[in-house]
Amino acid sequence: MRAPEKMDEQFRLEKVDVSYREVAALRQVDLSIARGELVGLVGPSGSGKTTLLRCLNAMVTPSSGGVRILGVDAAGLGENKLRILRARIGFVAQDLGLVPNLRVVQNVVAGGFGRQGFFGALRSSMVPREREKQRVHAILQRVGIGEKIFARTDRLSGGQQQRVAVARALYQSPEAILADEPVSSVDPARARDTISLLTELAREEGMTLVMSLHNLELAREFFPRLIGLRGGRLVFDAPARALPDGAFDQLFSLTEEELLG
Amino acid sequence: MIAEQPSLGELWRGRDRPRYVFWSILLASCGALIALVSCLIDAGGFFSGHRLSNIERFIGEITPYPLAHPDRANETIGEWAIRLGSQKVIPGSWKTLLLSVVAGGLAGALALLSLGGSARNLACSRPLRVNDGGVGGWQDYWWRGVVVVTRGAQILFRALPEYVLAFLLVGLLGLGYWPVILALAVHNVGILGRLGAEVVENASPTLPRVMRATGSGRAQLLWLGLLPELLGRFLVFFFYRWETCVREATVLGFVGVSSLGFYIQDARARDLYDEMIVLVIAGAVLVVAGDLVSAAVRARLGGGGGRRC
Amino acid sequence: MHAIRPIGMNQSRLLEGSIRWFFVVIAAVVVAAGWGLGLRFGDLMPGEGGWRLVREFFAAALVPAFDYEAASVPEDACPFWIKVARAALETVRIAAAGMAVSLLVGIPLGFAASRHVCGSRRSFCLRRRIVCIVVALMRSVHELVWAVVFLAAVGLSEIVAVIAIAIPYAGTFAKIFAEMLDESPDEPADALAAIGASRHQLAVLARLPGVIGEVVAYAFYRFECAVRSSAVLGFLGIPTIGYHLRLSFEETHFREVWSYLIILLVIVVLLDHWSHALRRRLV
Repeated sequence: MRAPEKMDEQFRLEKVDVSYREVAALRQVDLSIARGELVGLVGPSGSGKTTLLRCLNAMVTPSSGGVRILGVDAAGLGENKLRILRARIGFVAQDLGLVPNLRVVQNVVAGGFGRQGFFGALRSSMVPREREKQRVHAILQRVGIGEKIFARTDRLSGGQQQRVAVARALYQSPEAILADEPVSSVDPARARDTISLLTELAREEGMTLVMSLHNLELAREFFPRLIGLRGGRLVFDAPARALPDGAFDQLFSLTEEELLG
Repeated sequence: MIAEQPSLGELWRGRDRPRYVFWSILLASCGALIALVSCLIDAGGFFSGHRLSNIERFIGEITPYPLAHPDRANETIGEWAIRLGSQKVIPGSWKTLLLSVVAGGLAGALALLSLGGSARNLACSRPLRVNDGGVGGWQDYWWRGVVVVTRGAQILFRALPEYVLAFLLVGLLGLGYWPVILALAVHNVGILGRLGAEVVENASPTLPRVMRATGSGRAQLLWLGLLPELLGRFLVFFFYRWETCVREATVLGFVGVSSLGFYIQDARARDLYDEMIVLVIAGAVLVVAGDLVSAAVRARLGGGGGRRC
Repeated sequence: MHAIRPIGMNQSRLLEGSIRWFFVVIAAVVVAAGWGLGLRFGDLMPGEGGWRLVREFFAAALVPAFDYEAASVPEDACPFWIKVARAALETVRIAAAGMAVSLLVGIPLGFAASRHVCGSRRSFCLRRRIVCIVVALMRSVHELVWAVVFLAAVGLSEIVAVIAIAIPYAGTFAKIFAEMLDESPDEPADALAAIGASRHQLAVLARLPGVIGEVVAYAFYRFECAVRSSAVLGFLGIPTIGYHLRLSFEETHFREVWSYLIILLVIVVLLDHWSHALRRRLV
């Protein structure tokens, strides 16, 4: 296990257990992620990847164990404190979570909602200020779809919509970005584009990036550190280069008891 | 060579605008606001002194008479309630319920029959787009005419309010249950017919195609090939409409048929506001009960949609 | 070898199953209800005088009136077509005002009745329950009955018609609106909740946009219904189409009746067309 310096630690899980209606989703997970790390989260479906990510932005409260997010203990935070904390962490969902019939600019400014009150958010969405539009435009240019700023989101291709979701995360000026299988619904070439875009942006900005993904090739190629999950337990947590080839097979092979159901 | 990036301003000017929607909403909301303001201005002096005393008097009179004036009343509150219940509330509610059931059933049956003329994939020379050989050119025109007439009739039927229909029919046929039932049925045939036609037109044509290929006739096609798929959805719509039938059957009593509305109007005409309020509440209970029954049945049928009817 | 089964089997089974029983039961209930009312098909036929009336009435449809039918009309009466136009305008005006009020009241009520706005806290759920009951009460009384009650309370006025329409329409709109919000796609709201959006932001900026097309189309459809209701309120004395229609009918001026009917039909069909055109573009 790596032992990053205390100062730069952004996420820390200590003996975290999560269970939904008596079914354990995470068991005794210990984890520490430092500022600027690029972490790939791999494992079969149902292994707890999504739950782990949702622990990192306090969308899931563990049944036991401690969670520190950006240096704050997440346990017992009130709704407003949680909002402020979440606003500092970008999130790209598997289904992207864009409103299809709004313009791209409206979906991107939604990245700022966590820092705004109700009416501020309403104003930003209905009549964005010039300054806001310019910022959105700059971010969209950076992800390569600057000319789509006023297009309806559902008129965009799947790859372009992913870029909108990334742009929304960037609009938060986040300290870390969590991405939950953001590329599982597009073809391999697009998936590669999006992952390389996200890792590149994270490196440039010095942001932490934690991404869960199915594709092991891509995970190995882009993420220096890989975490393997299975049945809610950490199977490995190691630099990608140090992982033996057999590690993945072990992660995905079915055990006898799983086969028998 | 890199194409020049358009500026933000250019992109803004070049955005696509849903003009029809925009102008429709603008026009409608401005119109509604103007209408509201004009009505408020017209009603400017509305809540003047005597209106307020009217309201006061009204509130005083909705307390049951034996309670408000125990000294003058010739019956106790219990007798009052029993008389009101047995002579007005129960018969009125019962008649309302029966009227709504008969009217709903009639509308449903007629709407199912009208599908043969209103669903474009049934009313054509090749029902359900099944290719069964020769098609005469004149047949296409004939069927197109049938569709236009059926759909036109449906539009007219649903555009006419039930109450207007009931009023006219009572005037023409004389007082009785039939005019009210017909009025409700006619209006609802217009609505159910269109909804049913949409269901048929969106139905999957696989099974009917097979049946047609094996020589089934038009009637068999409809009853065995299409109906099983159609029935569930149709029943959902039917129950939605039945809910509104209960609501409407209440007020159609105003034209003189002894549903709850008749007793409400009667109590108002005789200034028996205490009885009127009880009857209004009975009507509300009946409607809520109808809603609950219908919602339970629809949940069992498991069909969504139809909310707009 | 169950794979080689005729395609029709499943569906035919369905017909034999519960749905067919539904039909049998419904048919039986309908027949029983008809028997309970003492209906006889013979009563459907109007008598001798009735037939004459019916014939006269429908013959008048071919020649709707463009002028007064009465032999003597007061000197200062406005031309008939202006009277019809005024009645039509009044009908639409009351419907539009009622619709405006019902939206102003119904939208906040709809948000309050939505499951997603209530969140998980118990006090909010109690509030939602109360709102749902109020909404049910508002819609369970017909607009004509509201009008009768208000007429009894305050007397005749347009504002009575507006309020009578507004109350049940607000209730219905709130119910449908809340259902739409509840059934709106969860993905945008989930994603925005994860980056710190508040519950109210989620309802208005993540859920509402997903169903706004449907909501607008529904509002237009309800406006069409409001026009019908407004016309009918005329039967209670408010000077909309129903009022004039009733007077003309009672004086057996059938051609005038048809003029009013036709103008009502035209308005409703035009509105129907408008709301369909919008729905096509929005949903």
